Amino acid sequence: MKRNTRWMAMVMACLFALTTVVGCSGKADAPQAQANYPEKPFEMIVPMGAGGGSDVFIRTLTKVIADNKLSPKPIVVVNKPGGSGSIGWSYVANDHKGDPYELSTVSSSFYTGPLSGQSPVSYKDFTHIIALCVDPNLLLVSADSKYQTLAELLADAKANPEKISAAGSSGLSVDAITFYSLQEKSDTKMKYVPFGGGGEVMTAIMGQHTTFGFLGPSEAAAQIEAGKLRPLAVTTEKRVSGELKDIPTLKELGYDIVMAQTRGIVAPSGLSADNVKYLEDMFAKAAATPEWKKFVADNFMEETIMMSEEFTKESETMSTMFEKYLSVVGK
Amino acid sequence: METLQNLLYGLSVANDPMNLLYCLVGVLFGTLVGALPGLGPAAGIAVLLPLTFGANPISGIIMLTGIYYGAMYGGSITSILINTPGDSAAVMTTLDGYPLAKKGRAAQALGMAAFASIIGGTISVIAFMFLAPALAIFAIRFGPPEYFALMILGLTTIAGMTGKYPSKGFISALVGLFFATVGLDLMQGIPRFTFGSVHLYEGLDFIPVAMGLFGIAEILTCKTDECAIKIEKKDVTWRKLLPSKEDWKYSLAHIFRSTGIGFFIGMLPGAGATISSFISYGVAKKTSKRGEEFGKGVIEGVAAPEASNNAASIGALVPMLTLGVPGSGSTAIMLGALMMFGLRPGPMLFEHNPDFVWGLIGSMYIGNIFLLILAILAVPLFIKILNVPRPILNATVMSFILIGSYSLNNSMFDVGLTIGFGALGFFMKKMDYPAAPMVLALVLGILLETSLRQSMIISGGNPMIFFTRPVSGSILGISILAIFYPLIKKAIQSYQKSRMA
Amino acid sequence: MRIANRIVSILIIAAGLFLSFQSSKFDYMVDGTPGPGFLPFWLGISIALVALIPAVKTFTKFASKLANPFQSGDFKNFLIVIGSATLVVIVTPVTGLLVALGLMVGVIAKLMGTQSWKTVIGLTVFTPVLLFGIFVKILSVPLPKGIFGF
Repeated sequence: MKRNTRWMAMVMACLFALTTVVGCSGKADAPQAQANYPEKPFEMIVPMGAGGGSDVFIRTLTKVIADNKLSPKPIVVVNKPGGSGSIGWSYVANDHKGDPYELSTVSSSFYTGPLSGQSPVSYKDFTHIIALCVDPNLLLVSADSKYQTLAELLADAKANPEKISAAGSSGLSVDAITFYSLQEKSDTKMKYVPFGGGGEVMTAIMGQHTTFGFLGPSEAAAQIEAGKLRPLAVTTEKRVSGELKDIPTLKELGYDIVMAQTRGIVAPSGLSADNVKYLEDMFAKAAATPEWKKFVADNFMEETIMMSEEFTKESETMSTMFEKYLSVVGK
Repeated sequence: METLQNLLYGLSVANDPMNLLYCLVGVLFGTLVGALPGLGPAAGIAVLLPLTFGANPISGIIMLTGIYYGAMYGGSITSILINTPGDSAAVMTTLDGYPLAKKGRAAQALGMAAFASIIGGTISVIAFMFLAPALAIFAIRFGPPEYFALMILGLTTIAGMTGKYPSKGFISALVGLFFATVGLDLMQGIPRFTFGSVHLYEGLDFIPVAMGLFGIAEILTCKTDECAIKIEKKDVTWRKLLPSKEDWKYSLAHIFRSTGIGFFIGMLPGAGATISSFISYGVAKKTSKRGEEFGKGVIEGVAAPEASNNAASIGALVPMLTLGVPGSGSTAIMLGALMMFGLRPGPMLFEHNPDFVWGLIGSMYIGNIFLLILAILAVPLFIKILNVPRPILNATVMSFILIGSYSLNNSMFDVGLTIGFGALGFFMKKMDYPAAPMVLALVLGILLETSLRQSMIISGGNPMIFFTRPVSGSILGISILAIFYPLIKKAIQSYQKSRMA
Repeated sequence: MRIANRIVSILIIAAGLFLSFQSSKFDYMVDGTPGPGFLPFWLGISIALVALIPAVKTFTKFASKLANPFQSGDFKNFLIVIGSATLVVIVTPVTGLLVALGLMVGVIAKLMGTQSWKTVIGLTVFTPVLLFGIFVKILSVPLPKGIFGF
């Protein structure tokens, strides 16, 4: 009996090994022929951990593409977290230069990383494929807070320097930059308290451990609806639509700060124009589906389609803006 | 009454054959990823996430939650059998679980881990059902000063793990705290002690350190003849596989206490199952009648952290569902999943989607029963691992540790790190430097430093903030008592002795 | 043990002081609150101070009673396991992780005392297949591939 099982195991093992070899031999070929692109699965690198904003964005996007059969080959999502994204991005841009099967996405550390010397690759090392939407940022207080408007809050901040505190995600982020430019433009002195992520920021605001804080609309919407958080301002150029349309922009309130995170798809530099065109089309088709539009609306993102060329220019603008603010922050 | 009606409704939702299947798959898969060294519930949930896309949200979340609490039990299996924690929440289980296995009581340890997990999980589901919205309000009262106080309380448990030489135990803890500072500084974004490597920017991950110091070091130091654990055929009978009456007598109180601690700490965003298992173990040691024997293989040393980590996994659902605030890495991914389903976790979820919330609660009762059956049936199977000849077991375990550390971040750097900590663990063991304080300090250190600095920014540099706030003040009070309690106890004893004389 | 303890204690003290020195490069205080250099600085000092205790102990009678923990045979396991694991890291870019791990399992099992060659070869072949099934097929972890294509 025992002998038998061992035999079976050996046979199984050999069969398993055999199928593996056969199954893999086809994949080793180099991606040369352009005509029948794509001829193998895409690898989509999320340079952050699972569950974050970038991850949800990418996984929803690839699901929409798969459900609507927009790509003849599957798109495999791989999380490569670490180094504030620099490990994932340098894997794409440095290790797979010119490879049209490596894709990735952008976030704020895509711009801040190279500027603060943390990342070996910058936006210049990527082919920009398409930008799909922007993620606004909200400035909120707890519903129990005595501040009804941003004007009240900033007036108090002016009267009492070092009294007002703000919660945001990490010391080197869109939140921090928004805070420091608001402080500069309103000529106040406040305290910025960095936290590990959106969840912790929310606790800090709701528990009134800090006076106010910064959160994305998708994180804060449920609390706003339930009347636990009060939004004071939004950081976009124009007001956001839908349920949150009553929130004034910082610009309206007299502080010229526009700071929203663009979400889009990038590939390594050195792609052929044909490949870029192909990818542009594929993602544009995905963005036109009702499922995608619903996701964008549900999460209070602003749809902003930018094709390759425009997206590249946008990246330049973003990078210059971050550079400017980083020198203000002084880090 | 309304709660009971809701529960009946929830159970009927969960009893839908499709949901039952998803629940079973979740629990099974969770136990597997939990047991594999390196892979924890967060990885398991991330992997199965795409599978839930096709399903309706209820089935999806039932499966993901099943993975979460299944993994909490699964982690104990490798902790007990091969001294390699399957995930971070199971580190404390190795401290007494593996010595128990060496004594030939692996089956009872596994059985107790299963029962403790399930009791902890079920009580927590009951608490969740009745108290979730009320508890959530309490959770947000925990600000940076309270977290700092909680981390100090956690550190006091180190005093109980210093082994033969207290000074060496404290060195180990201090080095662990230092390891926690490696990586990008949260406040300024500058790299600290990374030696120019981007791989260290996110800090030292806890898993490679724990797998190296516990798992690999055990392989390196065990001599073939001494480490062999023989299980006799006649011992593998049902009665002998389950914890004895005496085991229950020792453990029951600790299970209930640890469930409370676990549920509460699990609820706090950022603290989670790992820290709750540390604190529960520390408390169990302090309150047990045979506290000195902890670490040498006592059954309550397994029961306490296991009840606690399962309770914490349910507790973490409280802020996630009622506030939309994830309490841990795993719940962060689940939150992402809910958003992909188009649900919006928050105070209104209970009103807008009662079928979802109550279906989930119902499924957790059923899932815990699945887990119990599964665990009890599998114990004899797991025990057989111990009969594998040591060289073969060592070789295979090593391959699982290395591939597990790779899959953590899909990076070979972590593999190297794990090997490095294995070598360090070898020398520490030989020189009587205990490993547990280092691992504990590494986990607590990150939150300790950030909450200290956040509190000081809020207070404008005034350290009184820790004492003037009621919650942090009382936790610090308890910590101070915990430090001086042994001294006071000794003083009283010597006083009584002198009176006797 | 006495000599070993003394060397290790002195090394730890040196490391502690080195850490404090390194920490002084970061801001100790920022706007009146602890900066990135605050905690590491004090940790380094404390490590050095606490390590004085075992260091001093090695000069007392107490230490001479302890047996040397390093027996001659102890390093055999260390060399086999750490050595072959390090080789895995080195050869993985060429062979791929699965092949490297398979070879490692065979080497460790053989050198640690498995007699039967059949078992050793079986392990070398079967372990990667098992790992492939669990990690690639079920968990879809993208393992590093080598020249063989897997």
